[in-house]
Amino acid sequence: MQRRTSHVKKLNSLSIDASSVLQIGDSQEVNAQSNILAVQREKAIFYQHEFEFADYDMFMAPLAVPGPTEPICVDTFHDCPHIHVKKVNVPFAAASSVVHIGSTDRLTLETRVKNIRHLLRDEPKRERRN
Amino acid sequence: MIYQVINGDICVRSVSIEDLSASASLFIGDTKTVTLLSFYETPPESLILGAIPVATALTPG
Repeated sequence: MQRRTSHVKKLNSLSIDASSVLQIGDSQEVNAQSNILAVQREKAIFYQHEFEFADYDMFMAPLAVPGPTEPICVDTFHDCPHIHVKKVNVPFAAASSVVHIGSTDRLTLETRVKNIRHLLRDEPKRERRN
Repeated sequence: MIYQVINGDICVRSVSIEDLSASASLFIGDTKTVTLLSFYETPPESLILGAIPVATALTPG
């Protein structure tokens, strides 16, 4: 597939965290995956071996990759082989996100989020219905 | 299925995105195949009532 060139005059970015990527230029394949386990507890006391990813099979379960149901023939013609962007402002990029200026072939982005709320009240008494 | 794309010229003055998180991506360029997968879980049993299980929390898994 014939690729266009991207022209960016100005890119503002404050912070790209450890697992994120700022790619300027073409690439072949981009794979980004983030597993997020968000725990809100009434009292912020957390112990060392709590809330491990391995405890939840949701982070291990394989995901069915959606695919086209029939063969698709894509014809792309670029009248103008340039993409012009004057100003890009991306202050924060976190949790394996990708800022990509250029073209690529395959882009796979995967996110797994689990939220847990922990209230420190005693268990609700199950009333016996007679 | 035949899918034909004819790209004219594209000139954008400004793109401003507050923040990107959880495998989000900002792409300025062409892409042939995009696969997006997401798994979101917050079922009723994600609400825990009761004390912190100290016994299990302190013993290494």
